[in-house]
Amino acid sequence: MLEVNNITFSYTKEPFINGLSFQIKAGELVSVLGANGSGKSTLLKLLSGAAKPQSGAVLYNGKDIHSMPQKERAREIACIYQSTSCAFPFTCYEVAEMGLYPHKPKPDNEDVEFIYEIMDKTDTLQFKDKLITELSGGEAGRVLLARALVQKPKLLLLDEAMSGFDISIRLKMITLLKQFIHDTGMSVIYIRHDIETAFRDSDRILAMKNGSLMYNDKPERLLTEQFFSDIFNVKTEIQNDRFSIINIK
Amino acid sequence: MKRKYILFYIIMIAAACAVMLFGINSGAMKINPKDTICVIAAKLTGGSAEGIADNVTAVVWNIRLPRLLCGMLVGCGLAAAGVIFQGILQNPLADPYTLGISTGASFGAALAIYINIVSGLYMPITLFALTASLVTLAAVIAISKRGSSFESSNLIIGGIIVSAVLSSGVSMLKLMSGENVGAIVFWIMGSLTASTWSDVYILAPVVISAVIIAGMIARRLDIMALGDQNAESLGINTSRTRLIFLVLGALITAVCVSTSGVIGFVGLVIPHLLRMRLTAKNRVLLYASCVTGAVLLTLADNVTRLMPSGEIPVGVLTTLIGGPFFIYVFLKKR
Repeated sequence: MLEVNNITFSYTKEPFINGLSFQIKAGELVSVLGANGSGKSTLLKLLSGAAKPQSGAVLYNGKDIHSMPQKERAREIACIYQSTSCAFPFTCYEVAEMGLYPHKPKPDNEDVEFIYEIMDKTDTLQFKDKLITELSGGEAGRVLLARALVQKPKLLLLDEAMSGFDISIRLKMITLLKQFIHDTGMSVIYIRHDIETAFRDSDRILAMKNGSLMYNDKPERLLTEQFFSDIFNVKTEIQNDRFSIINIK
Repeated sequence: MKRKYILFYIIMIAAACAVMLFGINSGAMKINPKDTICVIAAKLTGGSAEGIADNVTAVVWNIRLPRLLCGMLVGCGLAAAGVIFQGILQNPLADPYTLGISTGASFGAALAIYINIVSGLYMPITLFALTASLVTLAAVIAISKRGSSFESSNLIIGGIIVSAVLSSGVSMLKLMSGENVGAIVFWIMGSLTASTWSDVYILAPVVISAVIIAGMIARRLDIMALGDQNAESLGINTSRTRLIFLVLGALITAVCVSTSGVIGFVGLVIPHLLRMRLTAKNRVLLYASCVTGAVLLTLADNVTRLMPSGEIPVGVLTTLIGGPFFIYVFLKKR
């Protein structure tokens, strides 16, 4: 589905993303881990088409993502960027409805039912008439997730989209995403800092350091002291498929 | 369409008719509403208003009607431009004057007035103001463009820079005008006193067509409220959209300011209040702001025209009332 071929990107003279290559298959939940400044959010911008690599290519079903018409790309790929907020007091329903924009300018009755269904699943139907500017960070985050799912994406890119959710809501939303993956074959690339849940629910983990991809494997194969030391610079103890952080290295 | 929007439009259109009717019949010369209708009907059908004095016909057709129509169009235009600028700058406190277009118009008008004073010529003030505001727009675009992208913060910075330079230019022209400075000051205050049919002919096509085009693509502004990156991921070319709306908003502002001077607060307060009370959806907000702006500016102009102590510029009244009212709303919200 998604093929990243040796991409490099820089903000200054120094390369920030350095020769990254990997593939994402349909129906995968892939978590991207790494310390702050390791290049995760820049990677997401490159995958979504918001930024263009200086060399290499991002191919979506064989097509270069940057040469795809913007609306066509929006019908396939949805994104929630870090710290998204809404500048004006739209109702939660109006925000969720925005996800339909790449598909049609105005929703018909069937679309309205679909939007309600997604809002129900994301637990946001209860405040459909409330203004998004009056919600808490976690509630507004769920509305933005509903908006992304209304977009009917085949690839969903999330940049810490659930960092404001409490643990029970986060687990519920991950379960919902897995259900979508199962039902629609959607793939999810999720940049996150909740390492414990990432190891529990991901099909694969990509771990970045200094703009390079250091690890790309199944979670159970990465559960090593070496992994935590390399990526997060911390000492850990691994016991019975669980890790506990002992100290900073 | 939601019932509350329809009800709002009905109330505002009825208010617009009432304000028009009141305005056209009131003033130093009291005119019978029946005579007013006869004059307008006769003028529209190309006939002559029989049995009605020539001075009544002149007051209705040449003075009051163009002034009322200018008030409606300027009010509608400034409020629409307010919605547009708040939308593209993603800032509820932006207004049609944020990007310096009005300062450009003021500079053009001040220059024309100054040339007229020193040379005794009769340079067309509206044309100078319009040209200067369009040159200002081009300058703001040139300063704020980075490659092919247009970011709201760059636009605001570009507007502030150009506006500051032109403000100094206006101050210099005022200084050089000596005892004739009053002409420049009065123009900048904003007034509909000198409105003519020529102003209506300039305002109507620009304001109406720009509002219609903006309404057709207003949904893009809704999505841009989520930020540029999210809007791009929903299929919106944010730079192109911002440029289109910038040109539409600037054109509206340029014709309004060129014909009536700087009338403050209409473009800031009306969209802001309606967004809080009615909806944030830009298409509805745009049309609702247009009718509200038209009604309120015409009403304010009627008040200034009928003041027993003599007429004051309508721009002074809108700022005097709009400023404290905005402070009240802002404090209440906090």
